[in-house]
Parts: sequence; C-alpha cells; structure tokens
Amino acid sequence: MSQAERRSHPFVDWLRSANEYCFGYGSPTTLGVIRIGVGFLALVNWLMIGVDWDSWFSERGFIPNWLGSLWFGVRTPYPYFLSTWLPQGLPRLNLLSGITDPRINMAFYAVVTISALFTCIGLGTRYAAFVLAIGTVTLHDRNGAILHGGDTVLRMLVIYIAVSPSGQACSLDRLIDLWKERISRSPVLISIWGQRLIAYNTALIYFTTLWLKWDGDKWRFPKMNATYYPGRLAEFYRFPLPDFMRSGWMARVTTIGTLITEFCLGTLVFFPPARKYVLIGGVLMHSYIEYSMNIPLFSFLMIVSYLSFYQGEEVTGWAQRMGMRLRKWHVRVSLPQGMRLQPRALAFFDAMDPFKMVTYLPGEGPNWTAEKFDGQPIGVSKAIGSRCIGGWVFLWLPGMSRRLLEKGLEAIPTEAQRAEKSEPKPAGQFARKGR
Amino acid sequence: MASVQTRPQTAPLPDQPNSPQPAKARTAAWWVKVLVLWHVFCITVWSCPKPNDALVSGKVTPPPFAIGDWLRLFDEKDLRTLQPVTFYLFTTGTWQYWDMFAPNPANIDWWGDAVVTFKDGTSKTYQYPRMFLLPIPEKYLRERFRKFYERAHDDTYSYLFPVFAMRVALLNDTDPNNPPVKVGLRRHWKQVADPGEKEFDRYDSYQYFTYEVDPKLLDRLKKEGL
Repeated sequence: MSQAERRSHPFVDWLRSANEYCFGYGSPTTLGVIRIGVGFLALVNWLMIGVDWDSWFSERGFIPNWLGSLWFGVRTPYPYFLSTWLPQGLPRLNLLSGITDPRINMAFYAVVTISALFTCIGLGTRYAAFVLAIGTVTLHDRNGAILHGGDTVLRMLVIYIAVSPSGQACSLDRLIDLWKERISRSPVLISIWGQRLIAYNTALIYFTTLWLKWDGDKWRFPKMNATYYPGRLAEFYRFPLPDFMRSGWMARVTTIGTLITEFCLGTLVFFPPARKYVLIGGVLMHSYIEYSMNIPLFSFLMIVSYLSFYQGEEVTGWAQRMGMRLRKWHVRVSLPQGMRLQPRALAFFDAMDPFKMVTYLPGEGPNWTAEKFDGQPIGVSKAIGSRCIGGWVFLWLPGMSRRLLEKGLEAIPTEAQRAEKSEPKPAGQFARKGR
Repeated sequence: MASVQTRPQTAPLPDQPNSPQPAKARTAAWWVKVLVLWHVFCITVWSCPKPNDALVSGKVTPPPFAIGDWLRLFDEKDLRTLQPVTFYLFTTGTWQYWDMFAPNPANIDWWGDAVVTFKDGTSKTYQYPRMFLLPIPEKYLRERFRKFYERAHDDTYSYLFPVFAMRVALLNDTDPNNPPVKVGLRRHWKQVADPGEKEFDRYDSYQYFTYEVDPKLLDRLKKEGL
C-alpha cells in the first residue's frame, strides 16, 4: 500500500482530525473568558473560606495540621510504592504540611486569594494562575474534610487554567503588552489542548455521575423519584419553592430530566448541532439547583466550564453579534482635530472593547468629544469607561481613560511630511471611508 | 469626506505572510500530547464509578453482557491500583471522583449540637452551625460546616471526634473561673419519607461521643493550638 493510500485510510483520517481537534491551534478567547470566571469564583470561594478561617485552617480549629494529614493518610494508604520513606501514605502537594504558625498560614492564604484576583483580571497571569493552582491544591490537601464537589471542580479548573496560556486573551497582560508594543496586534493563536481538557473533564463529571446513578434504585424505573429527596432535606433549603415543585410527580419529571441532561452533557455535547440545546439544558438544571439548594458555587463553576465547548472564534463572534444588538448604546468618540490614534492605542482600545461599541473618529474641534448613537453628547471618559468592559478594572481610576487617550494620540502627518519621509498612506486595515 | 479610524478589520491568518504563528506548528508538541493523554487516562480511571462491594469481593459475578460492570471491575482491580496513576493524581492534586446525588441522593437530614458541662456543674447546649437556622446569605457562606459535619459525626471518622469536642470546649471557654469540663457531641437526624408517605415529624437524637476536657490541653489549645 502506498503512503498516499495509507494516509487516506478512514482511521488515519479520524486520528488526524482528532489530533487537530485536541491539539490544534485556535483563538485563546474562550480560555480567557473561562479564566475570568474561574478566577472570580476562586476569589469568592477563598473569601468565603476566610470568614471561618480559624475553624478550618488554624491549629485551634476543627482540623489542626496533623489531623489534616491524617485525614488523607488514613484514607489513602500506600503500602507498596515509596512506602519505606513515606509511611504516612501518598505524598501530596501541601506546602503547609507541618506548618503550624498562624502567621505563615494566613500569609499563604492571603497570597492565594490575591492570586485569584490577579488570575481573574489577567495580571501576571502565568504566575498568578500558577500560584492559585498550587495554593488551591495545598489548601485542599491541608483540609480535605470540608471539600465538596464544587471544590474539586474548582481545583481542576485552576490547574487547567495554570497550564494553559490563558492570559493571551481577555487579560490586562494582553492590554499592557499591546500598549507597550511587546506583542503583535494580530490575533494570537494557541494550541487549545487546555480548553479541550476542560471540556473533557466537564463531560467526564456528568458521564461518571450518571453511570454511578445507575446503581441507585431511586434513579431507576419503577421508582424514578431521586430528586424528591434532596429537595426535602432542610439543611439544603435555600430559596422558597412552590409546593408542586416538591411533589411526587414533579420529582419524577425532574429525575428523568436530570438523567437525560446528564447523559447529553456527557456525550452529545461534543456533537456541534446538539451542543447549544444540551448546554441550555445544563444551565437550566444548574440554575434550578442553585436556586433551590444551598450548594455554593458549584453550579456557577459548571456553567463557566460549559464555555469550553465553544471555540474562541465563536465566543468572539457572539460578542460582536451581541454588540450589534446593543447598537443604541454605541458611542462615537471624536479625536482632537489633526490627531489620530497610534496603532498601538487603536489595538489597545479595540482589545478592551469586545462588544465593539466604541468607534473613534477624526474630530474637527480642539478637544475630545463623544456622542451617543442618537447624537446626544456624553462625556468621553464615561463613554469609553462604560462601554469597554475590558477596561472596567482600571478605567474607573480618575483621569485614566483621558490619560490613555492623550498618550495614544499622534499628529496626522501632512502630505508634505509624508512625502518627505516617504511614508506610505495610513494602513488600509486601520482606515476606511464613511461609517 | 473624513476618513474614519476604526478597528482592524481582518487579521492575517496563520499561514499568511507577517503572521505571528508559524504555519507548520499546527498541533502541540509531542511531549504535550503524551502528558495530556496520560492525564486523561488517569482522571478517567479514577473517576470511573467503583463497583459495589459484592462484585469486588467476588460474591457476585456480573452477567457476561454487563459490560459496564466488567469495566468497573477491571478499573477497580487493575487500573486504579496502578501506582503511577495514584501517584500522579495525588501529587498533582488532580484526583477526582464524582458522586453528587449518586448512587442515591442522601435522604437523611443531619445536624449536630453539643452539651457542654462547666466546672460549676451547669451545662448548656452549643449549637453547631446549622444551615436550616441560618439566614440565606450566611448559610451560603458557611455551608462547609454542614459538609464537615456530614463526615465529622460519622463513626468511620471517629478520630475526628476528640478534636471536634476540644474545639467546642474552646468556643465555650468564656469564663476563666468556670471552664468547660465535659463535652457531649450529639447528632440529630430525620429520614425523608418516601413520596406519598407521611413525613416524620421529629428528629431522633443520640449522644455519640463524650469528652472529658483536659484543662492543660485546653490551655494549650487557647495559646498555640493542638
């Protein structure tokens, strides 16, 4: 068989397409958005833990350091491999192992919490995400007795974020690099195996949970009333539900709905035509759980992970389509006469504005002006600050947007200057006629 | 007509000139693929549902066509026990097992409290944070108390009991002249009745652990912890 024939074998084709699907290059936008969500939820999680820090992570609490080690040591005996020098059990990534000084523990906690914030906003993303991942694993290994499913989801997501170039999009790092002209203004492409891992792990959660449910008689015919029980556990109550939602027949409906949704989320979600409907089902299921049951952050984390089923280009396209729908909130910002934005500033403001709601025009007056879609004037800082969500982290600082605009300006060269410098006309990609 | 300065309209594609991406770099490096596949293998092995005890012990043999059961048995006996898998998962923090509401959802409501007896012979009931009694925002913040109690009152983890009791003693040690001398941990539970059946109207209670507080240990706990 010739090499060409071998290449065209269906299995080889399948392998090739699987290889490209899993390890090919694509837009980092999805990973960037997931990073924001995960960073934010990690921040909320650690702040919530901080409320009862003394109970969970101090030597005066329910789980002092030695007991935290014992928790995992007892549960995971390791009789063969490395057992001679690891009599306690498996080695775990726990930087706080044996550290009982509350000041060190608190400092560690503070660093992890701050790293969650930095991961969220994408500042020093590589380091912040790495610290967050190490910190999260450490704190989970320090006290495993308080962990629930949401914690495991969070831990997995921060690890995936840390090992992926998640700061390449939707991050302050990218904005700073664009401003300082350290990176190309063209869209970046990354190998998206990190995103694929998130997608796979998300599907794995549903598939294996569903599989385990198959053992439970309450999930199977003839009972099929499993969801009846959690809804009646007083310790899980959250917001009130109408009585019929707790009734027997509704339990049957929600039990079947849960099984179908979980099956689809574990399998059909990879099939593009079904993806949207499957994910809507997942969002509805988790929204119901979030509303009715007190299971903090779990639903939000799962919903954030759903983004991994979308390509970065799809997320970008969605944002732009959404921006078009929000047309009446668009603004036009006019530059001072004779000035234009430097290419770096243009790329910077463009990256800050995912919904493409701000257009920059050459002005005819001496100052910056801005007007809304209906022609009403609006303050320049307000116009940019309110529309460019990528800049919300820093544009609220007094004078920040104006300072950026001023620094991003350059004089439009006259024809004579152009001729003198043999400067080509303004790049076509940055200028077009009419609106 | 004035020209309009706007955003870049099209970006060069990877295989076009001036592109930042090398055209040949279509997929990740081979070692990345190896690591990713290894990781996928490990998390899949570890997430696979465990077979029930009867299957594991060999008391019951799955029917020949019960592929799921055979797979789970194989996973439990031959894959999960692979030491490199376990070593990888636990050292990197990627261990995971998914059993939310599975195989059956919990159908017993648990909450706990403690009877604290003081030096002068008086006693009081300490209410361990109970979600049902907390306002909605607070129960969201403090749900871990419920999760912890789910394990901390379980006899499987009885080694948690003394430290739990010491913590309760510490929280109730407010008068230096009248410290707690004994802590009794109690669990309260109520089973959710099946659909159509009458709800149980009261919680059962049981004191599952009694701890004589060691004053020296309590003193140490106050100063530096256990």
